Amino acid sequence: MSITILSNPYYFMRFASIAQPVCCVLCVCFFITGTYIGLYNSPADYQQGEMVRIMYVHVPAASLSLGFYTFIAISSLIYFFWRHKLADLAAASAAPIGAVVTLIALITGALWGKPTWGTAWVWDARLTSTLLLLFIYAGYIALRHYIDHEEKAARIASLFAMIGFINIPIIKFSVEWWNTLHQPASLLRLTGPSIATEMLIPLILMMIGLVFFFATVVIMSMQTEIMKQSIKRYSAL
Amino acid sequence: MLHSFFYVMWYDIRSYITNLSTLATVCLFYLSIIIVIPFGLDGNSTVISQSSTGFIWIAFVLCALLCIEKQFSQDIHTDILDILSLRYSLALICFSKAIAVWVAILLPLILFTPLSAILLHLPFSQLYPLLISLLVGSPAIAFIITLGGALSLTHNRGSLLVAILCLPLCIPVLIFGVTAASVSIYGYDNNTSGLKLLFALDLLAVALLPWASGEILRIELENK
Amino acid sequence: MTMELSIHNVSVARQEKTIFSSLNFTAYAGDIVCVTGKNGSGKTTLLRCLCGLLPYQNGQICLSHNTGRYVQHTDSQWGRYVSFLGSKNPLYEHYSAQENIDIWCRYWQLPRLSSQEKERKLDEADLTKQRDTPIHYFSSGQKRRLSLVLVSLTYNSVYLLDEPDIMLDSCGQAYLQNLLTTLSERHVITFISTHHSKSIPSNQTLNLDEVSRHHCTHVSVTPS
Repeated sequence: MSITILSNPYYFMRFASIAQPVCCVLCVCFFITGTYIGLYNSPADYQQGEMVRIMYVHVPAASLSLGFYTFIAISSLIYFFWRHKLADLAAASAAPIGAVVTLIALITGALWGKPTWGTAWVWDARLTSTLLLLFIYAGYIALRHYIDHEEKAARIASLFAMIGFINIPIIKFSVEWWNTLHQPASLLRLTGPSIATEMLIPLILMMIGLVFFFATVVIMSMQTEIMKQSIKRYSAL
Repeated sequence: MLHSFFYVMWYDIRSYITNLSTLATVCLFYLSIIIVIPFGLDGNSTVISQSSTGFIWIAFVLCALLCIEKQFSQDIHTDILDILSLRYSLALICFSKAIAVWVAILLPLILFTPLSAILLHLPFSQLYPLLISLLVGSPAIAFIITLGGALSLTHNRGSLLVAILCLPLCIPVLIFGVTAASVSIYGYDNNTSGLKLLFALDLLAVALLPWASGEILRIELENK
Repeated sequence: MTMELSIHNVSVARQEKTIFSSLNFTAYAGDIVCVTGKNGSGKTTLLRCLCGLLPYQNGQICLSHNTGRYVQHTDSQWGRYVSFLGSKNPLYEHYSAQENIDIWCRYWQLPRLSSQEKERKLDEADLTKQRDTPIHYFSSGQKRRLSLVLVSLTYNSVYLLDEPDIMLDSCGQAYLQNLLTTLSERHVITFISTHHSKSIPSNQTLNLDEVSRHHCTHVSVTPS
């Protein structure tokens, strides 16, 4: 039994019918405990005060926005070279969630930045590359919607996702280089000392919760898509 | 194999030259961006001359993105690509198309740059690094717009989407290009590292983008 | 010299929709095969599939000579044995008729024609007056005739002509029939898709309306 068995839609549906509720329950548990600890059981920052609690939403979203894109890129790679249709479905379902998570990261970042740095937006390496990641997400989704022919859309979008994946580190590197040249003393020195354990626990809980949330929604939307296609198939018969 | 590469390139360059409208549009757009910038800056000549390299680079990239649609516009109405693809690799065809657009559109744009440099009060000492950076950075842009051209064939709803798709690809080139062109203003003496990075981007683009555009064309031809 | 093109049990599906399935057909050297069928019956799909632009789901297409040479459709060499004329014309719009002939000869690695030979070829298709006119001034019938001239220049084993007779006047029809007879005398296999099968001097007919269209097995994501 290897993981390739999941490329068969039948086994995938069987797997999904178990995995989806499990992920859902785990997601809720992690989110509730994470939120509780984050709001009530963790200390306020000695400099930023209560403001620091935005971190429990912002940091998981920001770090996982890239993780989810990696997921899309890997699924696209699998679809492009081995033509596993489910890999394409996974990429297609993951894209909107990834885009929303990136957007959340940007918005919470702006909300957090306004009181702490005094500005909602800095042309910092991390912010800029996250914004461009959002652009790539948007481009990917738009490309899929613009091309009417389903298979063509899937193949071209998967190619685009792979190009975007190669592009992200280049953007990151170039923006970092640009920054060190133009603004040597950046505002963004996020954490002087390493983060306290009391803060780390809710952060990790929220991060795991977000991963399970992602898994739940992706599996659900893949299930829906598979069902839609079988309805189409049966009504065509 | 190789002769197809040269002929595709040569016929493309010749069609760009015999039909000057693309080049004329692009050059005029380039100049009009340059002319509009001082109005946005209230004619403040110190600000204009300080950031003129950046403005010229931005204008250059935007103009290059303007040619996306033209890249395969001939082939869309004909069956030339289908017939070429029977014998030759589509990646090679895309490669020669990129070289053609570089020679026929981007190179004349670079030749236009001294004029825009005068309009934006660029110090004469800055002109030389700017031209070098444009020369080194433009091949990567040519490959990016070839990719965009291939993408724009896949749907018929205008090339605006494609320009947005290509923009993130252009940003590293823009950043390294501007730094390579303007570091000496800031007194840094590492002018060459920007150029080296631009070269690196060129090489990466040569290695990956013709293949990717060729694959897109193949998908397009298979689903025509 | 005998040569045969065999289509064995071939099915083609596009966008999960079966166009035709289990198609069996054999054509021999000198055959002119008329591909007929209603609109949407898959004539163009079949021709594009035969020339290698489209993949097919199962079955086999191969070309065998009595000399023992044997080429499968999946070979990369396949493109060297077929000439293809699609529903659009493979012409560069900005070049004249003569220049298009030159381009074509270069792409197909044919010996260059002298201007007398070009003149003669154009004369056969009644295009002598237009020899220096850019293609975008041509009427659609003239473009089609020029495309037929281009196809007649190649020397290949299989010719695939997708509706070559659209837009042709009676004079053009006569040219087409002439061309087909020459091809048949050259012992090549010609596939023609058309709605006017009566005017084509064909000796075999492949009616796609009679080919089965039952559901063929291909990759699907339906749980079964």
